[in-house]
Amino acid sequence: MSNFSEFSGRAILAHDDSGEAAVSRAGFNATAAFMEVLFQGSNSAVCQDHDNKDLFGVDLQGKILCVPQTIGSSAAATLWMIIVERGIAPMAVLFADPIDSVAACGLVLANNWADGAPIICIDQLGHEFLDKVHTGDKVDIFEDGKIKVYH
Amino acid sequence: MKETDFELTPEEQAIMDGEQGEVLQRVMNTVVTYGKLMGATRLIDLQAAPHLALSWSTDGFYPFIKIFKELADAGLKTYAPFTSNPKAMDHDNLDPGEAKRAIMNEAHSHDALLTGIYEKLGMVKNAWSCASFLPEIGNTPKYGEYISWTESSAINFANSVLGARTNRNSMGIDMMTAILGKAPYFGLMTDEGRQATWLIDCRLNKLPHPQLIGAAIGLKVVEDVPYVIGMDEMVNKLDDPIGYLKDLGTATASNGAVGLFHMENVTPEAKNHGRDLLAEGYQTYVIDDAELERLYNSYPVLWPDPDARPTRVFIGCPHNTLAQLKWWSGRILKGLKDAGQDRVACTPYIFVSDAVKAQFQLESPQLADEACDAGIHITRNCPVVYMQTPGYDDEMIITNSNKSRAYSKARFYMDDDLVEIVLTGELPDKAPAGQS
Repeated sequence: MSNFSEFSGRAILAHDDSGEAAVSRAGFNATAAFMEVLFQGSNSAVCQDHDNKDLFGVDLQGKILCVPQTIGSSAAATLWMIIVERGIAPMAVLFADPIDSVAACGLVLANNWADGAPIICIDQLGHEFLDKVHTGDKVDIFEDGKIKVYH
Repeated sequence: MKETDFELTPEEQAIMDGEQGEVLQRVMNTVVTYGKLMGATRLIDLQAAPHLALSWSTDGFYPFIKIFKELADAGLKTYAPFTSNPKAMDHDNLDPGEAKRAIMNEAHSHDALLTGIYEKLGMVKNAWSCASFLPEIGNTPKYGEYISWTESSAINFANSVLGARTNRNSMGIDMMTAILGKAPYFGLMTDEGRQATWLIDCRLNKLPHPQLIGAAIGLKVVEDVPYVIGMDEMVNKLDDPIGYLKDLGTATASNGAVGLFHMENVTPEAKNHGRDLLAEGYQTYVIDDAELERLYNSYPVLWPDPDARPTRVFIGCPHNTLAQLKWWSGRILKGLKDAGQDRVACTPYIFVSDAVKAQFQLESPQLADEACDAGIHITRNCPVVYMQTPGYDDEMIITNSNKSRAYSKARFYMDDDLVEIVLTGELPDKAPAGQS
């Protein structure tokens, strides 16, 4: 049987699902990550943020994005909207910290105004969660905000 | 989602109940949902005018343009005339050449639509600048006033340098709060949220590049509030502390997520309250010259050929102050004179609002003429958006902005090196370690 770790956070928008983790130990700059989607008509969710040593070049479409919080430009909300509308968004964003205001704007707007599948969002999972989870790990998500990380 | 109790006034409840139409009801519902998520329990009336971030009109922004059109079509207007970020195009002053002009025009195909929508919603005519808080445009909130802005650099300036109160909102929510004239009350709007949880102890031998020390602070504290000590004597001696603080704050926001910083004896709340702004249990980060050098040397080179000749030099992101425009023009002209040159070898573009450019031409006509004759361009363009246009990958751009560096392949240089590049068209012999 696989080893796993369990964590519990605040379910902002969640349902039961599972997928593969993509982990950023540093704050995730959504604007830098998806700049080409905004300005160059790209339909790729490959992370373009050259300052993000964990995720630069990693395709985030359909992944479970695990971050402490997001950083950077306040333009980020539009990114969450457009990647949802284009069907290239991560399946979920799991925050170790409480969700930051820019990400909250983006996810509220994306999940209420965009035409597309909403992004699962859980915050306040704690820093031990980020210590344990690694890119490529299988993660189960539950609608009450609990998650299981398989090692 | 576990919802907090959220108190609405009778007027707000009526909007929430749809008594003023479905569109406004949806706007109120979105703003309240955002507020609940962030732990707010009520809305607060906004005071100074709005500033919005959306000024670009590629397909990537169309979802928001569509929403804004819906608001305008419903006859809604913002509570006060608003300003917005700079547009992507200024072909007269930053000409990418015929083929690229066409690409840019095609990429920003919704420009006329967005401009028309903004006029209906209440925008100030031609107030396209990320530094609309400067006196030349005059969207300058007063100390303590509540606002609900976007544009991370403008938010940081309004909170830190002006002492106004706004959270780090994002596009879309800015317009919705501007339509309502109300925003959720939490975070940086509250006294508690403005307490510093980091003491930044600067032990530096000279005044650092504002966008380098800003980046160092942003990377360390991420979204927390820092209280900076050890810089006041240097900053207060500057001719243009406003420009310096604007640039420092910008880098804290773009390389981290800082919405507010305090600087001892410099920023207004630090002057009023001193170290009482430090929260119990704050952490300390010491910054010395070696720490900044380490960071500068860590930046990756993203040019396909690291030794390529630079094609343009971009000065200012965000838009420069009038004093910065004068300083850079004078500095480059002095370099040319000292080198016995008439014209620059690599064209510099100084980014400012139209209003700042007009004031420059009014106050310093001779300097403006000399700058123009020497090949210095002054443009209202957004540099980051310019660099993100499809087909512009062959542009090898140098910048003095760590924000531009973070969002593009541009290379970030210190001011003296940048002037050398403008004069010679070549990269300096001694490049930073990480950039060699």
